[in-house]
Amino acid sequence: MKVKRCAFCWVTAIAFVSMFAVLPAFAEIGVTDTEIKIGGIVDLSGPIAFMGKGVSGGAGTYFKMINDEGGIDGRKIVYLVEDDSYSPPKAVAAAKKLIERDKVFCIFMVLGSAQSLAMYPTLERAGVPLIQPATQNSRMAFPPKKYLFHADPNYIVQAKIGVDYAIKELKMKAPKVAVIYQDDEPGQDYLKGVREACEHYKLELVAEASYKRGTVDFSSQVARMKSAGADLVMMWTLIREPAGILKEAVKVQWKPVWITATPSTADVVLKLAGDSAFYGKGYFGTGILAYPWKMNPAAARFMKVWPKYNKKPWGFYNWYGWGCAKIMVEGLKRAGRDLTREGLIEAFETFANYKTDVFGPITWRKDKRYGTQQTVIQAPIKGPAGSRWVQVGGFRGPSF
Amino acid sequence: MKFKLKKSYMEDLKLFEYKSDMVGYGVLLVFLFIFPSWAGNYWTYNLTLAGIYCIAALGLNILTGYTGMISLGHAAFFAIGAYTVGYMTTILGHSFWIALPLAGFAAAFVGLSLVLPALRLSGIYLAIVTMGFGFIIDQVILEWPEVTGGANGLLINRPTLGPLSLNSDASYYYVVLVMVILFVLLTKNIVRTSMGRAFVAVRDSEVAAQSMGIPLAKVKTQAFTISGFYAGIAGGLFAPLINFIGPDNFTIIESINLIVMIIVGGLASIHGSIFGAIFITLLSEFIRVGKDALPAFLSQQVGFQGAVYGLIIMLFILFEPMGIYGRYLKIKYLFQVFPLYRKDTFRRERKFQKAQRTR
Repeated sequence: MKVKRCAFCWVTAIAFVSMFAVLPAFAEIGVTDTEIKIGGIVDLSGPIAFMGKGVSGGAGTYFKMINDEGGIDGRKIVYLVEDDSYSPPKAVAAAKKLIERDKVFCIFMVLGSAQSLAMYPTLERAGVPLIQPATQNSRMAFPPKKYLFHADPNYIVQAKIGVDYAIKELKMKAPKVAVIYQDDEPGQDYLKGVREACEHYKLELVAEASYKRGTVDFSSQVARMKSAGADLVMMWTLIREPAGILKEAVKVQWKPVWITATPSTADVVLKLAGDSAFYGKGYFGTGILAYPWKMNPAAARFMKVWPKYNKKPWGFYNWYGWGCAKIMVEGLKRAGRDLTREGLIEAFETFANYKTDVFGPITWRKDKRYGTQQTVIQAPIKGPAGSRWVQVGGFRGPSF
Repeated sequence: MKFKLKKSYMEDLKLFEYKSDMVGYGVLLVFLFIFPSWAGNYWTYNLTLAGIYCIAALGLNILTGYTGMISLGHAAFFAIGAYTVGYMTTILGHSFWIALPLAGFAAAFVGLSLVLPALRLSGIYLAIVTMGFGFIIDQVILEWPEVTGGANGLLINRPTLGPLSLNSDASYYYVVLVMVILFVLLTKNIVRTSMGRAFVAVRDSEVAAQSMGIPLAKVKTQAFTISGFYAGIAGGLFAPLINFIGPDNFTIIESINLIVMIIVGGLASIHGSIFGAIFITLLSEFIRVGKDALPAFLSQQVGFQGAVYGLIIMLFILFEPMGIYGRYLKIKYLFQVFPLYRKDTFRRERKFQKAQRTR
């Protein structure tokens, strides 16, 4: 009897120990032996649905490719996309749904800074990482937040790179600088960057012109900048505005150097602007993405894989989503087979000059949550099928 | 059908017409109180958001449904409330419980200033003025960064209640629930007493109301101020719920959304405001959850949610112009008089000739 009881104790003890021994192998929420669930929240029915569709389509294609190649450590990626119609309360609801009902492992790519900031407290409470919000807002990574990893260079940095390029590469001597920006958060960031750059180079900032979202007539802004004698114009605009500004400049016969931020570096901008894009002394853009026709291995792969999964030709936003997905997959790979949320965060913190060939080299550390500060410089050329942007220099960061 | 013989005027003013109503509302209250314990954070959050819109919709219904003055700038009152709480709690560091009533009073005060044009205008012209007011507030938010955070917006923490933190969705849900109950009772009190009757009289015919001795200017001022107060409180509750407010939250779309709520719910009815606010807020979430059951080619279709949302609202306006509350009344009546229901019972009567309605 005594022996039996002792045996019983042993069995219980072994059972207990083995239970704890097995525990670490228990996977995190959203991870099974065969799949990893990832949630994305983009605008599919609101004002910037074309962007949401583009970036989620690009990321989805990359994940499909990875899955067809066998997945990550034998696990397939399940990418669930929610629509928030670009409304922060709906984005928060979508995040709660993904975390609670779908039980996703992490949130990947949220379109819009207001949306990301609104849902962040929810994510932090649940301990769910948010990887690569699709925005260039400076508040994503400043101050650094534990559960948020942001790759894109923000607009403050882009403005500095633009002024740098004008002084160093275009050899402009003490240009009079003007800035035109949309009166909202990213525009204000850009203005701040231009101001800092002017202070650094001791340049004269002769005009600060702002416009409201949706403006189509820029005659007063252009007249003001021209009469101030500006010869370098920094622009933060969206898709339609450059056409209005450049055409107005043609009308008043004004030929400055134009440098534009990322949102206007899509080809459709040039289609709208027509010949007016070539009227000034130069038209450049700071693009956050390497241009795919400047062949690098990542671009070659993208061009080859894209038609396999999509009927439509690829676009700028697809390429962006593709790059984001590449970062995500690299992080999952580095986190290894025993995938946990904390492990994923540690894995992303090991990124040191990781080359995606889509974005600039990405570095994340415990106290540094912005991935890269580098952009390429682009310029438009005339081609047989209309004008398009080409890359005129490699990735470069601000010099100060 | 039950016919109630009223023996005194005071019986008109009773909170519940029948004692049996109390049972129904009691069951509803119990349901609402236990809701977060089994529904989970996602639905609790959505119902909290719906509750906040209930308060704003009640206020708008007092203005539009009862008093007959349309406002396309209600998001601005909402914004004033939200930013008052944001400014007071994050920048000045006061308690949320002081900031919340002030949010209501700030919005009411601004509503008071809108009365000047409101007294002179009606119908579509009033709609245009209130819309302009909405745009002005939008600009003020952008151009006053010391208070509003400008384009950057404000990050707002959830409040605490004594030693209790309201960080969880369930705890904040109870705060909003209590506020909704208070505001429903307040609305009920307003509309069933002389003030509310004056509102209705002004809506139906200004000339008739004036000749009965109702001071037009005073009544309209009351309606605007009260409505602003409601929206301000709703905004003040909204800010800590989503933790972040920026100018994008309070566009004209938001104002239109509020109007859609009271039209779909039912104009000039408390039930209608509640039904409408809950229906419109939860509709997109039901579509979000429902689409998971559909085949992928439909559920992953871009714009699917927007299309279904628009379709449902269109069908409502086409086939049930009296709103959800109207449909509810008809179903209730059908059961009461079964099998003697006649379709024409609810046909609209014309109460006033056009000439009598001159304003």
